[in-house]
Amino acid sequence: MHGEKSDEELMLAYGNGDLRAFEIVYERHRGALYRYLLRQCGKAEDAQELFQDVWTNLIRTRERYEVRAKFTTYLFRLAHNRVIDFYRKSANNPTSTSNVVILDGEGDSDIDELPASDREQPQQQAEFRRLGEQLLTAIDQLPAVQREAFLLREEAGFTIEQIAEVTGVNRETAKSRLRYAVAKLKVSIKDEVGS
Amino acid sequence: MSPKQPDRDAFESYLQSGSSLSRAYKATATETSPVELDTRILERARQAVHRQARAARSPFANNWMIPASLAALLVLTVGLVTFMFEFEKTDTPVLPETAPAPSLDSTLEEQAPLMRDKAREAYDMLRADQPVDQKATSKAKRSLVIEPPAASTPAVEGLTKTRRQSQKTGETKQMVPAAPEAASAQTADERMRSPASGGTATRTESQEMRPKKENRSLESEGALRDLDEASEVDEMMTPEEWLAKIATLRAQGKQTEAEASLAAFRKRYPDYPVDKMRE
Repeated sequence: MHGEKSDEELMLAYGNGDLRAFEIVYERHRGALYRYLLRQCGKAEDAQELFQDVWTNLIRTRERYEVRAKFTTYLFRLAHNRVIDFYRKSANNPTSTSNVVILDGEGDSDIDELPASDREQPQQQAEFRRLGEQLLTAIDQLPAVQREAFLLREEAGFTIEQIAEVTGVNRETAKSRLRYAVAKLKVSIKDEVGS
Repeated sequence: MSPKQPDRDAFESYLQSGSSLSRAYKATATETSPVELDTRILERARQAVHRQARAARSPFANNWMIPASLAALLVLTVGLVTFMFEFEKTDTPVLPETAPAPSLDSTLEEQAPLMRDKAREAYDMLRADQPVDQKATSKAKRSLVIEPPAASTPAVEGLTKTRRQSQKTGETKQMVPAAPEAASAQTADERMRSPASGGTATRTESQEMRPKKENRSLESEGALRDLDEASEVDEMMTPEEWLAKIATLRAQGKQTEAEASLAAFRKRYPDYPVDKMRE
């Protein structure tokens, strides 16, 4: 019965004390959210910490949840804010070797061209296909804002408008970011396929 | 084609479902959250629901501060109001309207007006009720000696003895209360006269105790008992009431009782400024 309900209905039910409704929502979106955070943090432990923070925040505000937008938009908006906090904390840490990029705000055309931050390659990459490895490497090398736009498209299935809403930019900026990301990734794949 | 001018067609193709790039990504993106992390998050969700259920059963379970605060406020308010009531009651003590009892520390100036009024009332009452025997009155005045005895009973006995002595010698021995036949206001005034500084009143004026009516007997035991009882009642009255009673007794012709009462009065209030009442 719960399986047929929308995410918004399930979240409202959880706000009224239905634990099973939360379990279904969690199962639906835990993978996409985890990979979204993992691709941006680069380290599994950081991604897990942010992952727990996002769901804890959702649990704490369950009674105040209102259907103002899609649940996934709400969920990834929470995740986006946590990533921003993570990047700012990393920026204040002089020992960090990462090239941290702030993901919010407009007019980040210069930021688009910044190199991707260094990150630890997951151990699971040995299991991926070689193309997959190259693709993930290419994603890892994208600028943060472009990478985020691509991940929101691929993991959450967002439209350009939804990407703009989550990241807090206008539609054209979101579209531009995604276009650049796609172009770079296709080039990488084409090169790999060609080789 | 420059990287900065991406292929719009390629992008539009990507946005459509079934893009090779999307298929390639989904084939490789298989990471998921660890099991222990999932367990931890689901446990938090369960605990939140249980807390919510407990709160639903007991509305004040998580808000015990509200009723506790209300109860404390109520207790404080009641206590404060009660305290204020009690404070107002005891803050301004009601003073008796009667004149203060004479004491060693009291001064004549403080007590004289009250005593003067009381004496005047007794004087007026006596003058209005009794025909005045001027001769007897003046003689009684001269002979009036007020000596507060140690006790009422011995004083009465002293009365008897002194009277007998004076009868024999015809002279005034000392300060012995006498009971002239005619009770008058002047006599009462002289009897009430006493030094302001206190101490026993020793009459130094020319006063001789010459009992006029010797046939009044005080030797009987019953009369003595009556006097003792009357003395106890007198001591429960205020000074002014006591003096008024003495004046009444004299007006009624009960000289012996009046004298005995006066002796007891002098014993109890040795410092009572009787003299001032004559003014």
